[in-house]
Amino acid sequence: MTIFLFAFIRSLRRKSTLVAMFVLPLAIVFIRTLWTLENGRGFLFYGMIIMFAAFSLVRSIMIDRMTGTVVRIFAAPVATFQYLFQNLLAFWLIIGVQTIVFVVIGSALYGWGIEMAVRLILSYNIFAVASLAFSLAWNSMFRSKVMSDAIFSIIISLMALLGGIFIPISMLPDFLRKIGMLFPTYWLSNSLLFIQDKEWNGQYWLSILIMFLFSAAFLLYGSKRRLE
Amino acid sequence: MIAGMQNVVKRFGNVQALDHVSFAIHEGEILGLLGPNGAGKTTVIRTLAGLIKADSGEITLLGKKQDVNNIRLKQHLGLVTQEVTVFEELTAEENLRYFGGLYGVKGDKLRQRVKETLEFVGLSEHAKKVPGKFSGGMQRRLNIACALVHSPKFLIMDEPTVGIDPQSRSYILESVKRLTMEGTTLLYTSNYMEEVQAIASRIVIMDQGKVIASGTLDELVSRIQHEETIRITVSNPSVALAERFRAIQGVKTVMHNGADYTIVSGAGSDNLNRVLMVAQQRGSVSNIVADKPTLEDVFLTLTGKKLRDEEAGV
Repeated sequence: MTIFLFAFIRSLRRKSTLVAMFVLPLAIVFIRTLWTLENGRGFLFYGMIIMFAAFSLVRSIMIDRMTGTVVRIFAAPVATFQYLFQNLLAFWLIIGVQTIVFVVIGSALYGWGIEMAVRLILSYNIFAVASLAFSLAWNSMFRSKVMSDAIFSIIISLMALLGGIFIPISMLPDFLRKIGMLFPTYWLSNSLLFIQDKEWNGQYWLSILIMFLFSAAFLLYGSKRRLE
Repeated sequence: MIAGMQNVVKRFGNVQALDHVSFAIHEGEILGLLGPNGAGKTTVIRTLAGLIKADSGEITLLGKKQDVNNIRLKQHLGLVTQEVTVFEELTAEENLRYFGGLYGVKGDKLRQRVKETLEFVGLSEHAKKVPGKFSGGMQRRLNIACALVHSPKFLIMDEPTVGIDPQSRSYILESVKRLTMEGTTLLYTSNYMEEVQAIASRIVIMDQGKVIASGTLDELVSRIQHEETIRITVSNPSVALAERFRAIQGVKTVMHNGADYTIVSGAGSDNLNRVLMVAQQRGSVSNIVADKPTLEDVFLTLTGKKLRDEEAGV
């Protein structure tokens, strides 16, 4: 598990990751107005923080590719699957721990209750996997970090808009809502709405399932491309 | 034979990167691989290391067939990449632990190997520093250390001394010689002809995806040696002396400039002693040199290119 261990260490030594992992969540969790069940913008903002954190974490795979370090890694007895799996597992664990800490603090401050907390942790963790997989697929398409970042900032704004982060999904025109369904942010938003309304029905599980399917598709695309 | 290629062909689209390449690397030797940019050296390295698949032909490593899927065989191989491929966020020691771990070296053995390897490359005092704090030469040495930590039997070094100071270069070349004395077999590519000339026991020259010559330095030189040049400086120069030189059997031309004479003879004439004898009959000789073709001359003759054209043009 060398790759896993050092993916962990490398991630925690990068400033951008530390900001996304610790500063931003702490900055929003204490803003009380964001966390009323009627408003609930905080739940969605935190989703976007997860997306940024995932993108920042997966960046190390892109750096390995750009610097040629993957060539050396694959000259060792290491399979592509091993390299990706151990890296992504470390990244997921980092976000997973952060999510648990975040939800525990949120529950203590706003009394969310155990069932809601468990559902939030589930939604955020599935979304974290989808975000990591999306970032992997995204970074595999670019050879330039600058280009990847520039276009990603446009895409993430679009995803935030269509996923109901800035404007509630119910207020979006029908055709935009349909386009939004093509992004995992929409389904995170959807699942969070059911959590806020305390409706544990099939629609909630459908959102979870679709985020899972997004993860599988992005992982398949991102890992299929040769890493050199 | 520790590694070898037999009729290996590799195409990238319409580009023929390797065109029926064959050569062998014997245990304990340093094989120098030379070629201009685009000759196919990197493709040779990547196919040998099992990073890319050859279209046809056979690649063997330690007596077994090398293939991208033969992951276990990579256990015995070390690769020093042309770029410095270490992790910026990790210290020198952690970088070695990372790469040692990839090869399954663990626990006390890993600790011991990390210590030995850092000593070997002269970075023991910098073990806890990140590569960003290192000079170019130190980064190169760390780059080499990462490929040595698992004690490979066969080491591939792809231009390991690019862009470093002469002191670090000489340190690296000395380390390479020590490695072969300890039993490591090496494939060494460099853009610095004098490095290959100094350390390689055999040389393979590639151009446009083909092996165009191979052998020891003397063998390669004898292939291109068409003429012998002798330069002599005498105390009593004269036109008559030039005529005496011209009269020696096999001499083609004699150039005379003050006290200096340049005498060109056909290959194999072996006129050094005769020239010296003739000159001494007419006075004393203050200097005499027989020019021998260098690896640079061999390369230029065979490929029609200088190895570092792009640098010369800058």
